[in-house]
Amino acid sequence: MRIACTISGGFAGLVKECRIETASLEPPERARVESLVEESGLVESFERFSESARDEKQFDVTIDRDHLIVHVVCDESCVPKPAKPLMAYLASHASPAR
Amino acid sequence: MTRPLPNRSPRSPLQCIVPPYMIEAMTRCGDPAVRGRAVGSLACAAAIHAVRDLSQKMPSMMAVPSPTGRRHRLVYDAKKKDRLPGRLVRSEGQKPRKDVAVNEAYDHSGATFDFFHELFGRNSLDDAGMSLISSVHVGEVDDRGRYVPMDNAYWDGSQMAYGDGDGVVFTRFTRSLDVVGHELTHGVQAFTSNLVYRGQSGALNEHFSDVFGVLVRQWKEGVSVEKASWLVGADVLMPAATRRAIRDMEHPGTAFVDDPVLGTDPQPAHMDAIYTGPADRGGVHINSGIPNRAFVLAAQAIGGKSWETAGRIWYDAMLQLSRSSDFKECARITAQVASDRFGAAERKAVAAAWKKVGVA
Ligand SMILES: [Zn+2]
Repeated sequence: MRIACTISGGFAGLVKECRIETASLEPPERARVESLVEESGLVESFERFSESARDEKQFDVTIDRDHLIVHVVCDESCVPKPAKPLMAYLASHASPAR
Repeated sequence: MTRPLPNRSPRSPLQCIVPPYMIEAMTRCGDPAVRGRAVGSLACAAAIHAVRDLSQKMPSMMAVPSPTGRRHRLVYDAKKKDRLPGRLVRSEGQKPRKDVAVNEAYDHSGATFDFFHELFGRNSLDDAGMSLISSVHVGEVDDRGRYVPMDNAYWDGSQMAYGDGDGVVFTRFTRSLDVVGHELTHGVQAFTSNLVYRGQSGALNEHFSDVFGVLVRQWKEGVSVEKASWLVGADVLMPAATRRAIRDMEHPGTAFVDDPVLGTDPQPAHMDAIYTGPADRGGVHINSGIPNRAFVLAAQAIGGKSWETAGRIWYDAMLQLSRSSDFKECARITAQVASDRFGAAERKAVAAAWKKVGVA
């Protein structure tokens, strides 16, 4: 499984990126990422933004599961609750974009 | 008497929604109970969308009126959760609490109200005396599903929300008057130009919030333009050699450099370097550097106290812009307002400032 994520916006407007190839992770970490993806419930692509909120962070996440690709673009308030831990994991593993 | 706010689900039901694909999948479930709930959710989602669309067109619908029609602040404690607004902890006229974040949200929102009221005769965000609602100690979910302090401040469409920061890069967002002024100006904009939050119109939305956030601070400090600081969010960053602030309106792109966590400030100072990618809703917090610099150049050329002339021009322009205005339109209107309200010298200063950042 491959995950590519860009986290941007928020009051600070930072742009951070994260790329994960689960095959290259140690087994416990790999299991953890796969579990976070499984529990996120992200099985179909969607793009959704709040019309009235300002300064929320934006998530642009692509999950490639054996060429089954899910692409989600949304701001924080539109992240489905079950997907929040996955987004937090990706955010904690993201680095400033070059 | 304070009117209680309806208790809202995490964030706001108006913005926090189950993705339609999940609900639709549930409607096909073999379990009738699940199917029934899904159908109910679809109806509810449709209602939520209707309310959300309406609130976008008529933000006054979301306003909680002040009981006196005057300054009325309500500060809530979200208690490290993301359910807004939380528990009411301080109302207008009540004495300070032991919690510094509560008092900062109260004092800074009061200063911002006074700024717009005294300088521009504006009665709150909607100019009709709506209450200023702030939630402090807002949390967010971490990768293990636990709540941690939020690393952000935002306007949710009807109120302000402030996190306490991670204590490593960010500290509590209520510390900064210019951050509080920024968020409240998003509220003013919701009732005025309501610039679409994407691309150049979105960057202008961010720009006006930065301008008035910083001007509230300068006004409170009483400093003239020669001594003014144009840093945004300096008070919410933990000190480090690689960072001075979140943004520098005078020198966009220099607020932080090679910072291990923040990276390098991505703001352009000229149209030559405008960001055109998809991140940050097309760079709303990035490209605001261009009009920010134009404002500072205009204020410096005009001289005196920035809020008196440059601030007045920008306030009038903010009210005149349309939802889809771009930088060029903003340049045209600010120059026009400068001419109409002040004179040829001010018009020249404003036009020259926009030209210097590549907007002509
Ligand atoms: Zn903003």
